[in-house]
Amino acid sequence: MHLRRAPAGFPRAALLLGAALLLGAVFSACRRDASSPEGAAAPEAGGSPVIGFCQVNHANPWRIAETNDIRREAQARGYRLVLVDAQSSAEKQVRDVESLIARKVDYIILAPKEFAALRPAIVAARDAGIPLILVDRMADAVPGEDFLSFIGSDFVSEGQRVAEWMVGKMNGRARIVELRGEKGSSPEIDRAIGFRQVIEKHPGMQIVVSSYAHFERLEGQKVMEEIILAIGREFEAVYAHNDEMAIGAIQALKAAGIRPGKDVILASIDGGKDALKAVIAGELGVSVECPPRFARTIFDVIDAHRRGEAVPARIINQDRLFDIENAGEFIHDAF
Amino acid sequence: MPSKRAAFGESLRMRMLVFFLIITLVSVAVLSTSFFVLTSGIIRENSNRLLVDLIRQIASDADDLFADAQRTLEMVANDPKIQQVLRAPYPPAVAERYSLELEVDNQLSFVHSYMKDIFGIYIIGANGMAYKSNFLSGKEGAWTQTSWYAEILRDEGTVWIGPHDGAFTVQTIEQPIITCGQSITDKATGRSLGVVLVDIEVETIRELLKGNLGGRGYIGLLDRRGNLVCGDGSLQAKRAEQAELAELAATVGRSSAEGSALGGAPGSRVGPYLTYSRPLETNSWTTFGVIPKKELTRDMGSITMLIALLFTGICLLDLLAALYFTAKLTNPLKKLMLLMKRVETGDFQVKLDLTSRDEIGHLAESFNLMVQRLDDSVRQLFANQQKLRKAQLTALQAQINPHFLYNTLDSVCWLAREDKKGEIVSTVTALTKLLRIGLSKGDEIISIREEVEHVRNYLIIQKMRYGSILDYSIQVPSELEEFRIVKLVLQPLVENALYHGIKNKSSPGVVDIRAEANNGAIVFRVSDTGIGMTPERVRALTQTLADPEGRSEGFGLRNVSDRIRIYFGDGHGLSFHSEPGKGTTVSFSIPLVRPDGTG
Repeated sequence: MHLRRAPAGFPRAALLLGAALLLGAVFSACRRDASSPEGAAAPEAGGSPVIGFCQVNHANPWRIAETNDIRREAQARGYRLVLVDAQSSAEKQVRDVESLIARKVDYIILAPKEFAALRPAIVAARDAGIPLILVDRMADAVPGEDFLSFIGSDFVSEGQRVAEWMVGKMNGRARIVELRGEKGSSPEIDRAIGFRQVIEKHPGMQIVVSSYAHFERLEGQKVMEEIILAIGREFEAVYAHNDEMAIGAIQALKAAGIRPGKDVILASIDGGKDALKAVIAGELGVSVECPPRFARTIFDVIDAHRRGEAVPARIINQDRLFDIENAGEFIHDAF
Repeated sequence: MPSKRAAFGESLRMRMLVFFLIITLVSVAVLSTSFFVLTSGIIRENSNRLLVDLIRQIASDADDLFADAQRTLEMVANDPKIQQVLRAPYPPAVAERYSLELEVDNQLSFVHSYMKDIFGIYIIGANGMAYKSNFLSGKEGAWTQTSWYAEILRDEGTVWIGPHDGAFTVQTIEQPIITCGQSITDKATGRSLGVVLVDIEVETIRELLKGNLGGRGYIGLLDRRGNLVCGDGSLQAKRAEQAELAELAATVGRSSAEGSALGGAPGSRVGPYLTYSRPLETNSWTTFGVIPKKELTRDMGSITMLIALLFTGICLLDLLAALYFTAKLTNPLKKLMLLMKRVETGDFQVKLDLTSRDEIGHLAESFNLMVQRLDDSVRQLFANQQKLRKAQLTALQAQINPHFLYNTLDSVCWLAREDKKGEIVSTVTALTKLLRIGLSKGDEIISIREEVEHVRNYLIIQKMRYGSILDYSIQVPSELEEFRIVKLVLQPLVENALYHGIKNKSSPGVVDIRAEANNGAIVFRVSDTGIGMTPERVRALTQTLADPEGRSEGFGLRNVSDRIRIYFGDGHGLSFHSEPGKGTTVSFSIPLVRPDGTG
């Protein structure tokens, strides 16, 4: 559906009045305030420190869980949180950071959408003297120098653990389809690297197709459909960089009459609730955890920094591995 | 004499200034006021029209959005595959349940992908299954036991649920969401299979409203219960005003079906306002807009400022122009007035230096000419008076000429010796009268009767001396006697005739004096039968008398001529008619002047 813009409103009204009123219109145009910075109402007043959080988007459960976790933790510790949503745009995210700098928040938590594109924002925060904590993904900057600290998962290790599980499952022999995440993002890069580091040691394991599906479920389904069209059933394993693409791929396989978990095994990363359901359903072989809920660590770092203590430049979250053995146990806690 | 300095309000310049200023002020004020009234009328009308258009447009956009949501509900509820899934019992095996759930989620997601403006589609099955289109992490709960589930089942059509925080069945960041729902009826059995829900983020609706009033009012959407779904209150007003405005708008939105109104609650902080509301076709929610009237007149503020600036500017300009022109006009007049005062005090050496060629210039020219003439006249008058005084003195002196007095007294002495008493009496009487009339209380103008009397007495005395060689006659009509004449004009003429005419002739002579009215004048003739004059002599004498500075041996003639001219004008000089050996006639005319001075 296309939303038509409503009529231009008052500026046009003034124009309609003709030349006589032109001046008045100009006056009123001058008076019109610049639109206020987006996001929640800014608690500028003194008192509790203000934390700005730049989220990439809220289009998937992982992000929603992360945001809700940070909110909860901020509230519990008496911080005020200003949430900005980049709506999947790196450009907007740079502007978001700049607006937080302009509002003189005390800390910025940034979940960078892309590796290279966010560097100017990080540099700007550094130059403004606002401590910045990078979460989830890395960006093109030096932890401990350009910004305070990085907190997230070790994506290379995640890729390695999926590969090790797959090697074991397939006895070192499999033709693998790889569904890659958002091109150029650090999880996409690192999960591909980690996976390859392991399978290179096993000549029987080879990647036959590697395609991007943007970390999205419907995209995963669509890309999988195309792969099946292209190569038929000539593969035994699917490695998806995240759960969503894996679940999408499962639907494509089922529609094509290929039984996931039987004809083809699937493995992914994140450990979300739907993924655990798929594991329990026997369709997804394994999901390596990439926990979104580590706000406690983030705020521990902030508290330590406020107390003047040295904080580690890099904190790596502990990732669990969910398979049919433990999925039922963890599903109610999964994000 | 006017006062030295004209009073403030009476000065010509001040009156002109006030006049000009009043004219300008009144016309500019009338113009500004009509402009203002016209403009504010147009603004109000346009604002009203725009508000109506805007609210209708927003209502139409919102209806489109909600209609999409309703279509989605229909689509899902009537989908045979969905019906089939919901008809099946709750799968006992958890693996089967999860597998089915993920599969149906994908199917819903496919529908959802064509509806960009909705947030999520959810199915709550009567069999205990729950599906979602947006892949958000499902919450756990007994959805069939909720009030909204019951409400949707009860209602035949679409149920619209006002804003609530977060979706009912999935994890969100708790953003405000509105939900519409519809029950799914088994097409085979008519049994209820569950409900389908569609979520729309309030933010999506806000996008429809945002910025449309440009910070001048409040537009919003109310649900069926009159709760504010969302509003764009970018009114740059105090929070209290904004709250009141929203409250006010809600009242308006709730009370009226569709229409605009202009009103203002008493004691309202926002004052009078313009409002328009319109119910939606899809769900009977209401879009509304409120613009405080003071926002409408905000532009008027700048227009008023502009008008005031123009007004002041025009008035200043007008004042300067009036000052300049009135100065240009009245300065020469002031100068003229000052010069006039000097003229009043007798200074005729003034000159108005103006080169302009307008009326003022002509005035200056005329003034200069007038002063010049006045100067000439006064000089003339002065000179005449000098001359007159001298002439009078001379006439007096001539009259009491010691020589004449000696001769007369000598004659009286002889008469006394001869003991001619009667003649002594008449001679002395004549001398007495002669002297009395000659003095005549200092009057310069006397009646012809007195003048004739005077000359007669003179002749009586001379007759006494000259005896038979002198004869005389006087013929003056009695009706002329009361007219006026300069005194002592006849006697010198007679004396002249006597000494230069008759005395030099060996034979007796006659002096004849006549007066007659002629064409509104009186003509006097003094004739003698003396030796007469040659034409050359007559011409020379006439010329000498015509020249004011000229001297003549005929001292008496000159005196008479001058005085007649001074009193009666240059046209009244003496004229001579003479023939050698036969005699001379001297004549002159005077205007008819009555005793009261009239002509």
